[in-house]
Amino acid sequence: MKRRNFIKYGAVGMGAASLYGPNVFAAGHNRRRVVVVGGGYGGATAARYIKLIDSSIEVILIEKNDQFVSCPISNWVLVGMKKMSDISIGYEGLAARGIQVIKDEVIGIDAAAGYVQGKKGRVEYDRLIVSPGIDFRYDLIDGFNNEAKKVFPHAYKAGPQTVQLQQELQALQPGGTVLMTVPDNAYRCPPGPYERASLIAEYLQKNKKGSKLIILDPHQKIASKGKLFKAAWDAYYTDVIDYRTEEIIASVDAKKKTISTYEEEFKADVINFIPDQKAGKLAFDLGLVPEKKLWAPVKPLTLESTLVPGVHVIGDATDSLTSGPMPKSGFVANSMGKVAAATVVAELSGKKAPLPSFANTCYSMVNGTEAIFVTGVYKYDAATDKNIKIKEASKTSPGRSDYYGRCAEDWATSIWSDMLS
Amino acid sequence: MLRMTILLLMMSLTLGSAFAATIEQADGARLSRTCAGCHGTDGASPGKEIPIIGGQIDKYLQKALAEFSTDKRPGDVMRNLSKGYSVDEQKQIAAYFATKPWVNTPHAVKSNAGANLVKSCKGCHGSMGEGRGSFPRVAGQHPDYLYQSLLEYKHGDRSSSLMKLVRKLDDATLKEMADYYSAIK
Repeated sequence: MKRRNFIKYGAVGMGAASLYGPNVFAAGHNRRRVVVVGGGYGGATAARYIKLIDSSIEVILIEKNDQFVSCPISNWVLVGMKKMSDISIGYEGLAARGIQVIKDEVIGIDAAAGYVQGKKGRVEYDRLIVSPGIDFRYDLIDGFNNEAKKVFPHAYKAGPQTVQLQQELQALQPGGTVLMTVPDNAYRCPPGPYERASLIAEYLQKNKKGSKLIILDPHQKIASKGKLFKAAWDAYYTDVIDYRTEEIIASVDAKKKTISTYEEEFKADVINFIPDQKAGKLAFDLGLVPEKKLWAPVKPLTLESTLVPGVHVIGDATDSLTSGPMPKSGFVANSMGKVAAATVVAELSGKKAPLPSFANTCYSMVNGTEAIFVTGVYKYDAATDKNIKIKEASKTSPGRSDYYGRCAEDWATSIWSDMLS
Repeated sequence: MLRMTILLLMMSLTLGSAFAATIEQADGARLSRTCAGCHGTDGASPGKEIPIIGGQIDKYLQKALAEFSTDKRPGDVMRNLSKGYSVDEQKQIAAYFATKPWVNTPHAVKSNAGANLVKSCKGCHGSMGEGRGSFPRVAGQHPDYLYQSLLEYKHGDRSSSLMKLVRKLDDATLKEMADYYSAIK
């Protein structure tokens, strides 16, 4: 059911984003402008790659935060292996490539007229790429009011909550308890909570003797890189980690600082609550998510929204039933950004959009030096009109090693420069 | 994958432009862009372990991908990923990166060694380590990566009759050679 979001505003100019008439596809108009909303792994990559492929195309990136802060590697910051400044990068590199970076929050769209509505004003586009990220399904949990959100940080969007959780861990008394929950269903970064648990467990062992980490997981077993995490936990953390499966959280109590399943109440000194997830609010505001659904459906070849023409959706917000079995990872968002970039460049040049190609490589630390990884290659299969996983290329590492740990560091250096330099 | 490509091409020729509008032959750029996540944009890897591949010798990259995908060459990530691409696609990826500019490692180690240290290397790797024929460029590559590679050759983990000459060298000498080449621009 197509929903059209139309927000009427006065024709307030946005300075450099000049306004043309409503029919931007009228004959004689020769502007070729792509607007990208969201400056994370997907959006920053898309903007940069449009310029790399065809620098004559006008690119505007609209991002509501001052700088990019990376979720990947933020787990390292929680335990003091890295600092916030190590994972925070500005948009100067993109600006130097001629990308106009606008700090604003997009709240609506008129796809027929071809503009997005930001809080500060409207920006017209010829093609639009949005990378909305994720938001949290607090509605599923009883008692998750604003106070609860402060007391139970998710730290699953890197930024202030990362700092908050890091400080809470630092302040923990030896012998104290940390509790974390793992999300159910589709969520950003399947191994993320388990990497976090591994690093917190080592941190507690080294710095907070006698402390415990309770993990409440709705799954029947570790949901990602399971054998590898289990092997590391059995080798290193049996005295710290209390891992519980098939635990569904029913309610939280901010005042008592407790989390409850349907059977048991848990109290802890530090509680990291990672809720179930859905597409970022931007996806809903722009009409990219069907009624009663959680993620944005897209066409597998072009990542164009199946609800709003001319809008490409990339990254964690996409519905993987439509985009393909790629996991919700930064590497995949970066790879989707490149597909969207190549597609819009082709479309604006009157050329055929190239076939998509996706990959994933994702490292997870199991302690301060050793990592494990997973890889994936995904291609378009014309017979089924879907993107499919190439099984031989899509496996976990044979084990854990310091070498993979060093490669993880390289991964971050490479991908951040590929996105933002 | 190759059969699929041929089938699609045949279909696009018979069905005409409407079908061909979305089906296109694999091209090096589109397949290679995803590699940047680890190897840096255009293969100019800024890291320490993951090698620079942009501007590397075409035939050497082809050989590396072929050896990874047949489990002949060690490299756990690459053994997985390379299997996602047909031999033809691997050649396109190699050709793509070979055309990119080589960007020297930011991690070069200053070396006091003289050119004499690498006199046995020049015959294959070129007078300045720039690569020759199908032998790879080593000049300006990450020192850690070069050192790891030399150790792999030394221990027989990476098999190569030509590289057997490093087996009699001690690790310190191999490290010196790696550092030496890393610093050549």
